[in-house]
Amino acid sequence: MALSKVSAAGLETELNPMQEGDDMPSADEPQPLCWLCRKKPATHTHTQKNFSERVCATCLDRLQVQHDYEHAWLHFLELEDEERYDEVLAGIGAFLEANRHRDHDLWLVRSITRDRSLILFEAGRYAEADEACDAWGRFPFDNVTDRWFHGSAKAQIVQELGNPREALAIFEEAFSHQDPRYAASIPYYLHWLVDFSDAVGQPVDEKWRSVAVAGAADFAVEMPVRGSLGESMLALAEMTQEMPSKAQREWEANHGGGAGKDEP
Amino acid sequence: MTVRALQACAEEGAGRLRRQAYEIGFKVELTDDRVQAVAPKGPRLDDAGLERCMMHALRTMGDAESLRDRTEVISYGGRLPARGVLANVTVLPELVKLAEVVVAGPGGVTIVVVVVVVVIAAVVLSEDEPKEEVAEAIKRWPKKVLEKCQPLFDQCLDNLSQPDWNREVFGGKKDCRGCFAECKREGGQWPYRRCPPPGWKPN
Repeated sequence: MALSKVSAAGLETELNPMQEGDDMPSADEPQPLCWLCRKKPATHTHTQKNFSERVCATCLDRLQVQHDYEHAWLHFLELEDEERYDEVLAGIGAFLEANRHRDHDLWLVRSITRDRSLILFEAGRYAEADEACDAWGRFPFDNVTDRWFHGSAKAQIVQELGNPREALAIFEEAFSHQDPRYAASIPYYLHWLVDFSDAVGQPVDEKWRSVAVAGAADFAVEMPVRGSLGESMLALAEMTQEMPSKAQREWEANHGGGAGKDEP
Repeated sequence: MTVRALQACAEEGAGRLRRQAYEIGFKVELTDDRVQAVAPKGPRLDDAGLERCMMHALRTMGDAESLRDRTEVISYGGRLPARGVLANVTVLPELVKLAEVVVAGPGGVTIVVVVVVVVIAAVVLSEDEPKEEVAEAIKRWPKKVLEKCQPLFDQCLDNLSQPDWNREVFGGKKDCRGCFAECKREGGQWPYRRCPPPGWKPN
């Protein structure tokens, strides 16, 4: 039987039908681990459009919260487009309060803190955006791209507050955290180096060349040669936009020609 | 005159830009036919000087007579690229004129300038403009960024799980809202690595 609930945003969502007893394997079968946390036994089924995943009860709740919050944004985006920022802020705040007890791994509070900062920035309320951005930065980052995202957002705020030199330093610090597993994402963020360097009237520091080269290597291309490092970086970003990353190529090689299915 | 001033900015400063095409929005607040404030909105140019030049052009357009001339802030072609007017200027009963101007710089650089004039007081009313049309016009701005990001956000919501090849690094779930926010900040460039659309297979 499907359960329904009304989220804080007033959107009705449907909880996945799950009957614990039905999902339980027999006593002598090994219990598979939860697909998400890979720690607890997978006792429930998380159903999406065309597929399902076996998860533990806690992760099922966590996934449902994410689903609800992501879909609530369909409503919040309309308000945001109309510049009704206070209503969006109130809406996400209400969503958090209504679902805090389900926020098992702090995904929700972290996402909402991030979104508060982004909304306040869009509203031109830079001092408040700065505070929210700092709060966002106090949560652990899932990976280096999250850190780059945060660093670029923080730097953008600081730039608007009239400190372009500090903005560049902030982004450079964030971008100095590198992880070869995320090299394919490097080109997407390179323009921030160019933009923040430009804002202080200086070229991109040569120390970033090796990072850009690592990004190029993930796509098995050479760094484009242009008049300056910044221009080469922008050319690389454009060139690699639609190219398969190393991870995709390897998957293709190991799994018979496809890029991998979207469903587990 | 304002279009010419914007065009002059482009001719002077577009050589410093790195890309071939840009879209930039400005919100112009007007009281009593005078510009009170000009603020950039949404994606930005990567040359602060050119941006300042355009803001100055908009800041000085606020003479009462010029804003009463509904053709003033838009281009009907002529010296400007053939794309010309992309949206007609409309007058809200209370608040807004909306225009989208294309200016061109050396080397074929094209800049789409979206101007929203928020008239706080003393607006020239136009009785023959239906409100619905105006409301639609507002929704269109900044339409290009949203047109690029929104469909990918919708797709992302329908396919929250990461594809197999991306799970190793980005975990099991896509962060659709975060990716949408990045797309907007990047002027419509979706972060495909973090949130690949279903079946996405680059060349």
